[in-house]
Amino acid sequence: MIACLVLTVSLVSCDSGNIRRTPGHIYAPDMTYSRAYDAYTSNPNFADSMTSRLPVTGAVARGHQLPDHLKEGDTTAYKTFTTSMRFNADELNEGRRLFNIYCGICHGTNLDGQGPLYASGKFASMPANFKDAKYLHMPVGQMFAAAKYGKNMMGSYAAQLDAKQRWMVIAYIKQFQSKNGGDAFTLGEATAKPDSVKAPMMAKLEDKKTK
Amino acid sequence: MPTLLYKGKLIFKFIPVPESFKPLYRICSRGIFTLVIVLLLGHTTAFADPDGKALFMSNCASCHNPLKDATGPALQNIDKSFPDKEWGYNWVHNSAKVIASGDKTANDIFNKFNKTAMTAFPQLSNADIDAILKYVDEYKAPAAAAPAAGAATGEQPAESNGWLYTIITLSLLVLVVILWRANQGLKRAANDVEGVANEKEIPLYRSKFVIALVSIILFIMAGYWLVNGAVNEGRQQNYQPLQPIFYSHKVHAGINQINCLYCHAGAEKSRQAMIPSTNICMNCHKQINSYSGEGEHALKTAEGKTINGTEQIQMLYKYAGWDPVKKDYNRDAAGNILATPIQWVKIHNLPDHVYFNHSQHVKVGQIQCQRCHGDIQEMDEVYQFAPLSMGWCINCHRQTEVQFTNNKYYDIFEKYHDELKSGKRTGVTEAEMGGTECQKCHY
Repeated sequence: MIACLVLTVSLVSCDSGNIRRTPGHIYAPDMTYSRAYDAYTSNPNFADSMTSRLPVTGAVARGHQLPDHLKEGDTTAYKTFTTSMRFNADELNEGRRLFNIYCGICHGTNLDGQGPLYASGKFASMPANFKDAKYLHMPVGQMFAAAKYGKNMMGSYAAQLDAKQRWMVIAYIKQFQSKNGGDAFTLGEATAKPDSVKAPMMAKLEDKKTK
Repeated sequence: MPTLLYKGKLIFKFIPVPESFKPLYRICSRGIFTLVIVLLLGHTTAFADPDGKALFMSNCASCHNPLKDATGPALQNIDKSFPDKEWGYNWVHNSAKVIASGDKTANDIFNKFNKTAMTAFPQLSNADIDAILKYVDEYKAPAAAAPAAGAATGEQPAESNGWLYTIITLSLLVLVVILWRANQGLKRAANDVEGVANEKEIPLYRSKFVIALVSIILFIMAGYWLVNGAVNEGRQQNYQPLQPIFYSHKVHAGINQINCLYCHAGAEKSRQAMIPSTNICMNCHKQINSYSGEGEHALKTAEGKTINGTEQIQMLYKYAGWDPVKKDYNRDAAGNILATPIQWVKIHNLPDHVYFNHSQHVKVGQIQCQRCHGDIQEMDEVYQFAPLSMGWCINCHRQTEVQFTNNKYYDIFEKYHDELKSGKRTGVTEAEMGGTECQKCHY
């Protein structure tokens, strides 16, 4: 009986409360952990030890936009900067979805600057209220630059939204604003223009495809 | 006399005010009319003074907070630091002009806030500016949110009673043995008295039945433990490593409602869900430099150790190269931010010979993150929720019906689309599209 009690007590004391801080053993470590450098493994071949590298300057990924040559803080250039892209209803919906994920947390899903982080008093300064006269007529290029480089307390969203996604979000905002006293909405597909931004080579390829 | 009929039933009839009520009626209507006039007048007089709060919200709030420094300084009592009232008006109307004039106070503020030029507000009248200053001077921080309801009821965490039951069961077993032995002893004593011959007593450890029973039980248990242990070797379910920064998913994704994709933007676009770099943290933490949610949700490690959230944010600043005093990044001579990546400990690891793609599941399959990662928004410290075993993958591929209609990715499966249309089938599982083929994940 005493032996039983001792066994029970020792078993109970060995119980660490089910917190598993170590990954445990594995049969074949070289099959489980990649021998090749994986996206987030430390890499001794580079001074900063990161395996994920930036693309070569000037490289354009397939299906992505050509570089826009905007410069951070160049306030005159971005006021006239715009896009030749036009968006259909699906893309505007996607813009709305992306806005709610990436922008809504500060600017609010009603676009009134009352996102959860500001409304709960955690932010010191108020995010832009897109219904406000100050933003109703803001040029799209200025919005694009803010999303790409950040502005005042807003950070850069270039890492989260690619150029096309940024334009979809801006198109959604502009469409919303046009219904709330802003300028007429011009980024819709009904007002389509030939795509002048597309590289001639790409345009040719797409022509071939349609033929 | 106007009446309203619906399906032959009278539902509305105008009844004229009786003569006897007329004086009362007149008094009432006059009273209401005067009330409306007074209210209207009161309203317009309120409008005559500029509304400081509204003006502050639409013009100043995007850069200034009454109590905290933001892009610009905290505004409460800032008018006391102006050389004179006129200086304040000039600054708001055109701060660049005041700075260019070489004014010392102006240049000090300008330099303190990283030479961020304040927008000129020529449209604000002096009375408007006074109203704004009055509003910020009288501004009080909103009272801290009441603690969550769960915390208020003083709920005790349910303690495990397993050990109690073990002791009770063991003592009952001991009791059974003692009683059985006593019974046997009494029986023998009775037999002795009555002169009946007793069977020869065989000790338990020599009884063939007992030996056989014990060895069979031991054999089964050993087999069970061995197989289970061998199968689980290499699996890391419930793995919950200590991370370099105590980052609580509960605070971010739960309480603050930040979408998973906000930080893990890659989950829709690539194989990797993307571990956010420090600049994504700084999107919000430029402003949020302390953890103020202790009342609502105190941070604790799985072991119960209390964590100071503000210290953790300071640690983030070190990694991100952010100087919270200067409110700017530390940069090298070429202007690059001096940031170092945070070395998070990887929790979910699939063997190297397994291919897994996040975008395929999140974007194409429309699978919720929680399906495989558990209630992440409730976890302070993340642990591996799913076993990530092959059986677990295959089970889901066999049982889960994918988002098949309105999904361009599955357009080519014409036969299934036709069958869905004709009602021959109700859904399509991943396995039916080749989701259990070896080469899908192993190649």
